[in-house]
Amino acid sequence: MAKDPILQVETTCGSLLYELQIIWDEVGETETDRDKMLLELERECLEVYRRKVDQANRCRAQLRQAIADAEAELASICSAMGERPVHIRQSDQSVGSLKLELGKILPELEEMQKRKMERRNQFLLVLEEVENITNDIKGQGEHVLSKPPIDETDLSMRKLEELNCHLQALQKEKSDRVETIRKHLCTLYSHCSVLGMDFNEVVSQVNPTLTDPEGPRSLSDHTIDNLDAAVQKLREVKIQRMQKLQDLATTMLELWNLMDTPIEEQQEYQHITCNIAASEHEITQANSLSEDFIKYVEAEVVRLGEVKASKMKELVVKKRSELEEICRKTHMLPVSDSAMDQTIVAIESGIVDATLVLEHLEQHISKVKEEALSRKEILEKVEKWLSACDEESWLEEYNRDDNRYNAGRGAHLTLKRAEKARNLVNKLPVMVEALASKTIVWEREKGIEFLYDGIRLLSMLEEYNLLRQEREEEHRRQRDHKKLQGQLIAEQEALYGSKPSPSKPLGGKKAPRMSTGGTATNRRLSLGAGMHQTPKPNKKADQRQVQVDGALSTGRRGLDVAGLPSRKQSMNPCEQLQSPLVRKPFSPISTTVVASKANIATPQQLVPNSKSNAVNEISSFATPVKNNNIIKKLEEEKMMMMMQTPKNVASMIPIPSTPATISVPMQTAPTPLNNNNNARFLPEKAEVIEYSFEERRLAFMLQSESPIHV
Amino acid sequence: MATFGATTNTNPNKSFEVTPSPADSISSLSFSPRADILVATSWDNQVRCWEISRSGNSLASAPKASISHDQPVLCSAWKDDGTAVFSGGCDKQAKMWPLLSGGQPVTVAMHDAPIVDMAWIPGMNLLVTGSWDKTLRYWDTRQQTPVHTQQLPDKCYALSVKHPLMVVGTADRNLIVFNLQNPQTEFKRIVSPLKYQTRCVTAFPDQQGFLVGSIEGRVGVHHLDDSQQNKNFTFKCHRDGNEIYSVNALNFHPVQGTFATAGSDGAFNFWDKDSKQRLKAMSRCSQPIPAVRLTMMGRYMHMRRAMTGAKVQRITTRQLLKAASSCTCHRKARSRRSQE
Repeated sequence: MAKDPILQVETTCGSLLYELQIIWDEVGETETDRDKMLLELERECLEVYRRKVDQANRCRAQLRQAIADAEAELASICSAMGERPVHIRQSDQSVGSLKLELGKILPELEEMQKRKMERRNQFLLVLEEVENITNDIKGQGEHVLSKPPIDETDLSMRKLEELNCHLQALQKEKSDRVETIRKHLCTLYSHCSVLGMDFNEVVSQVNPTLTDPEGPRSLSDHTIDNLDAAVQKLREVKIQRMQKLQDLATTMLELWNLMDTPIEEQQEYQHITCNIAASEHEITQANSLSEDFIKYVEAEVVRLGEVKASKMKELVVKKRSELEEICRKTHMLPVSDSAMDQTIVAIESGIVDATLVLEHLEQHISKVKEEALSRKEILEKVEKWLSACDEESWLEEYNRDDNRYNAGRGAHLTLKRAEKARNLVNKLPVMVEALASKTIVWEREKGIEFLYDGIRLLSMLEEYNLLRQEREEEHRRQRDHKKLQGQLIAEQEALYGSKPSPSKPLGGKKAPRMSTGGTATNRRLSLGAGMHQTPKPNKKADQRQVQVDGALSTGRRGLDVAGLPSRKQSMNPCEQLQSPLVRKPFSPISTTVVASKANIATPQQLVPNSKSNAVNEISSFATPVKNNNIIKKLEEEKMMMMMQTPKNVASMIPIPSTPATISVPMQTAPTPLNNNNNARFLPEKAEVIEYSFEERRLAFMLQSESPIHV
Repeated sequence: MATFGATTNTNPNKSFEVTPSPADSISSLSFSPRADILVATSWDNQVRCWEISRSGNSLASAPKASISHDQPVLCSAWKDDGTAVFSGGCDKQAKMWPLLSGGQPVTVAMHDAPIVDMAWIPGMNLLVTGSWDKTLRYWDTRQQTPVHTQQLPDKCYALSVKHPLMVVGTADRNLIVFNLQNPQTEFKRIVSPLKYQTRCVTAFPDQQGFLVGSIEGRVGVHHLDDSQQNKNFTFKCHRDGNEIYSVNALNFHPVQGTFATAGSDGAFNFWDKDSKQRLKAMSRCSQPIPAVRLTMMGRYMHMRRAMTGAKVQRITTRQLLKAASSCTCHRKARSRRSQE
């Protein structure tokens, strides 16, 4: 009994109730009070029971809730990991009590949670790797170490595999990119070395990370694009330079070929010319396309070009002189000097291609040669005629020489020559006739005028004929005059006795025998061959000669006049001037023309020096002449003088011989001042401009103000 | 520069100073012929007008009005009736300022170069202006164009009118005398009796001749009539030992026939040409103070006497110029009036 607490309690309760009854009895409690007390006791006991039951009930509910939670979590983990749930509670298969059930489910849950953590870490690793590679590829320089977001609801193996695949793909891409960059860098390096550029500089321009061989390199699309562009650009530059170099090499080869440059000289540039047909990728030698190298080659080409140009110029000049030589030989007008000089200048300045000029020149030469051939026959005749003309003029001179029959050294030769000359002169008209007809035929054939040193041959012949006629007329007149004079002398002799003939000049003995030696030298003049080194003045002289129409002549002309003063003495100088004088054909007008003319104008003055030679004549003229006549004459000849050289004009003005004593007041501004004042006034005029104080101050003020205003 | 302001020296004669002073050098002074009104032109482009009044021995000046030109003003002249004053200068024009009526200045004359001197010709009611453009121009103040332009041999430097005599001094030491009854033709042209640049001329009050002052401290007295040539002479003035100063202004006393000269040495003297006497030499003001660097000149630009009551009064205007060598001009100008 004692062992069962309930029994004990019951016992106790019974004994207590008994005790209570005893007490009540003793006390004498009423039955109602006893019942009431007992009811209360009963109610209190009931309440205690109810509370305990409630408590137990709540505990059971909690237990059930815990189990449900654990089960739910387990289910969710299983579903996330894509595994079949291990524990599926079936209501019918209920095992034991609730506590048992919970004890069974909890270790399961723990296990699953551990597995889940492991899986999650795997995901994290893969994702991080993916993130890294993506960052690399995207080219965000800084690695932002952010935890990659993990989808907690899906941690299945399938997903993990997917991620792994993705990772592998990315890794592949990355390695591909690294390879691409490496290739690009290699290409770039080779280009740089060929072009002589700094590789590091070029690369750092694309992306500075690329230059660092150790550190991480940028793998972004942008970098690759830039690298690609740089490679492309360099390639273009390379191609461009290569073409340029090849052009240069081609030019060089051409120039070598053209100028027969020796092999040793070529050897130096062999490495350039060997690349002449190479394609872009074949050129790999370092610095073979660098700017310096191209410049070096360029310089060589320029040098060769210059050499070529100078050679061309030489050639042009040579050809030109050849042309001139032919022209001179055939008495044709060569191309004018200035035109030729211009072409040379043009060649030098590069306006005209020398080869073109050369071609043109050669054409010209062939044309001229052809023409020369056709002219040859006539030219020979012209030569003959000219020599005959010379002989004729010599003869005339000789005839004028009054001492020609004086016996002296070589006189017999002169006599012989004179006889020959007479024969020749007799044949002259026929010769001229024949020449003229031949020329006319030639001109008709060619349709152009036959020019001899720029002058039409026919006009020369015509002119010669005119002169000839005039000369004959003059001869006749002289003969008449001589006759008249002879009569006059005879009369005088009859009246006053004999006198030395005025025709015998005093200085007769001193007179040089011009007739013997003069022609040889002057012939050159008349032919104009000796003068040909300067064709232009010669031409001008010829033109002038035509203009003057034979009234003027050469130094020889002057000689002629001077040589025969006695005969011309009595003639009116004016008349003599106006009458067309005998003129040697084609003799160029020299500066002595005017001088000799002046001599003609003043025969009286020149009588004493009459026998002097041409040089003397000039000087004799230069001496001050006080004759009014000559001054008048000079004024009349103003037009003529305009054509002379300044030297001549100066010598033509003998005015300085007029006395300088006539006072010429330089500045004769009439002043009312007396002499004394005047004298003081003049020197002060030359002083610097005077300024008053006010002017100076104003100038100073303006000067000092202006910088402020500016 | 700071040592410059030796004020004791600027006024050694204890003259009366007209205030306020212009900001820059005075170039000319003119007294109204009818009233005690003084007009001064100056290099600060201003023409100023003061009324001078006297009570007992003391003088007072009251600034009345001023006008301005665009450039420094070089000369001034009063109309004979005292109604207007003319001024001209570096702006190449002359303005008429009707002072009494209070009107605005109007341009009455134009030149091609600065106007350097001018005078009113009372007998002809014309203004004559002389300029560095080598002309004299006669102006009717109502017309835009000159009545007559007289060509001069050189730049005009000074002119003086005592109707009908007009004397014009130009550069190159020419002196041209005009008879204003026939202004178109030169009456006479002579070379200055002085050997240096003409600085100022003044006709005698009796029109028999003129004075000419040069930059070499010498004044020439010249008579026009050939019979009086023996009376011509020159005299030295404004010198201090070897130092020679310019004679800047000459002016006759309107009544007594004596005249005063003002020079760059800072002095003004009174002379009688007939007795060949120096009447009075005023003490020199403004010696060059910082000796070497600043060779200063006190310049009496103009001097004039006017009669007010029984007293003779003298007004001087002085300009002090620092030497141009240091390139900055420090100027000081004072108008002064003193009793003799």
